[in-house]
Amino acid sequence: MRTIDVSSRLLAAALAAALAGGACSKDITGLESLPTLNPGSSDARAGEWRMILLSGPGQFPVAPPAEVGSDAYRAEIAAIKTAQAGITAAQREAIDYWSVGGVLRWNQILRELVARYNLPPAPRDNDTHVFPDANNPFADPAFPFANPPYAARAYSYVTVAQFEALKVAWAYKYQYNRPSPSRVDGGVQAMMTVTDLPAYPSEDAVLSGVTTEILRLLFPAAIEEITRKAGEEREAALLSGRATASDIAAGLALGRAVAAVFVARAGADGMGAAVGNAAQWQALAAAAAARGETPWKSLETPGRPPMLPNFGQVRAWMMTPADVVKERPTAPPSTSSAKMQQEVAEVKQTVQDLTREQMAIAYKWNDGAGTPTPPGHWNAIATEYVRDARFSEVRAARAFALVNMAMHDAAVGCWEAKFAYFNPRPSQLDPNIKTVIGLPNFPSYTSGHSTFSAAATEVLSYLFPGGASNFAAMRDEAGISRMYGGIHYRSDIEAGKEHGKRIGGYTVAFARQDGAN
Amino acid sequence: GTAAYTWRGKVTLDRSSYFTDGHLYLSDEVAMPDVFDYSVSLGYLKRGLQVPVTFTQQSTLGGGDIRRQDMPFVSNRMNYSRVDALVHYVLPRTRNLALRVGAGRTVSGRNVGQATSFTAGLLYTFHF
Repeated sequence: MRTIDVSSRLLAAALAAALAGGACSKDITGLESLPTLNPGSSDARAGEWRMILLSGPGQFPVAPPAEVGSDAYRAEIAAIKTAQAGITAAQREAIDYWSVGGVLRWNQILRELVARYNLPPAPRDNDTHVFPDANNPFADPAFPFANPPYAARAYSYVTVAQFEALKVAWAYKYQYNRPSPSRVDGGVQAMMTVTDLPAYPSEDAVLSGVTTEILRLLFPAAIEEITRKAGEEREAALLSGRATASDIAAGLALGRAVAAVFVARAGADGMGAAVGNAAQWQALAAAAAARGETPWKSLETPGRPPMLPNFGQVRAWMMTPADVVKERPTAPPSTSSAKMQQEVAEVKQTVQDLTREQMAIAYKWNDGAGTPTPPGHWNAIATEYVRDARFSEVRAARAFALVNMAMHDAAVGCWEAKFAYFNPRPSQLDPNIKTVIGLPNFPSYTSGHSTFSAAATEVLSYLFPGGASNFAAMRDEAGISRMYGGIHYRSDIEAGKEHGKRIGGYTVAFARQDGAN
Repeated sequence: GTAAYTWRGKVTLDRSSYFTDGHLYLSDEVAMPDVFDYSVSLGYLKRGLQVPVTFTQQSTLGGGDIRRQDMPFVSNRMNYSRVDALVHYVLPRTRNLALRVGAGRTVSGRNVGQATSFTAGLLYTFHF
């Protein structure tokens, strides 16, 4: 009896320990903790930095604000004090959330949207395929299919529009020099970091307005959630004592006006024709066959049309259409050559002998369906560096805009090459190759991962020279991960990296003389 | 019958973010939902013939659903109810050899396949 008693006590103790252990061991460690933004500099001259799409601040007139001593302004200050007196726990939480900086937060939100919408449309029962329709975003398939080219373009529109809008805002901020409410009246509490940055127009409201309007175009089915986030950002700016109602109203109007210019560009950048049509898909295969090459074919069941064959004709940011063609990598080894046989054999051997470390690398950089895509992966990498650099909002926006312009241009250049050559995947030439990760449904040469990663590495190494060796190591790992995955030849990876490096150079050339240095 | 509650901790992925249950998690760690399962058996037993029928239910206490066209994920909410029947018959004039024939079916579930299974075999028992 005594033995049973002891063992049941032991069991109870073990159970209690398991309960306690189970409860606290489930807190997951976030890899992107962001501190409250306390910028090292306000970048007072950012209003003079060179524009990318806009002509300049004069394109968007912002009326002068009321004087700090006016009755209208005093009423706004009184309204902030009243609101602060009745602040709720949820509002405090929203202030904490946005206090890390709107540029970083919107980047996280954007990556989540891409991951949510990055699912290939399901084939119909009769094995045909349908494409998402921007005018019917809630239908099946949902709009968009945020695949890597779509995502690269989306990241670039959001970040470039944010950057341009903030440059305009900075010009007016320093033209009018109206201080932050908590600096005008000691009775207004500063619940976010308050700097000497003038408050009119509010940078938080500019970001909320410009981002909402661009996302309305790119992710229309998510607009309710986006609008709620944007409203929360503006409310946090007011409640935290950083901006008055008129600072916010002017910022919101400015952000929306800037967005309209980008929405117009997006409507005419060639994306609408990127899917192509059946006659064209057949012509691509026929052209490759006429050159004596084995044309790419879809290995999905049922076969799926190639992903966005005309994305190579979508307008780039820093390259003309002639630049895109000029930078196209030279042709891959012929599908009938001994060199190609050797490359196929190398992929097969690599997959057969794959080590646990190599498999981990293939998974780490898989970035396939349901993820923020390779451009999103590089935004996550950039986030750490932007955070640690304590950039002002406008300089943070510049970093993301530059990286994402380079990656959009990389997507355009890479897709232009992929459909110029229409080269088969390793597992098409040798069906015995068992891929480790999902096989992308578009031609092999060149590797998109390698192109994106090399373009991002060029720009990030320019912005953060101390990280250059780290970026280069990640670029190389991302590139070779595709051979570990069994989906790319070595020549796809090598040519993609060279191509991406050249494409990134266009953005770096712009950055060198945009006046921000 | 049996019942079990399984406490599960975390798993670590090879990647730095994952999307599940409507959110992008910026982490390589996944909190695994606990699992409760039980099974109840009723049957017939006479001489060499045993016919147990078992009902099994597993409930995962949390976790997201597999989205259409997406990959399954390690922390998916995997629930199922399953019925299995078995005929265990000791062959006449032997003490050691039994014939076993069984069938089972997943009758309902969430994020699991609706599987039907059949088994057939001979069981030889060593008596010491």
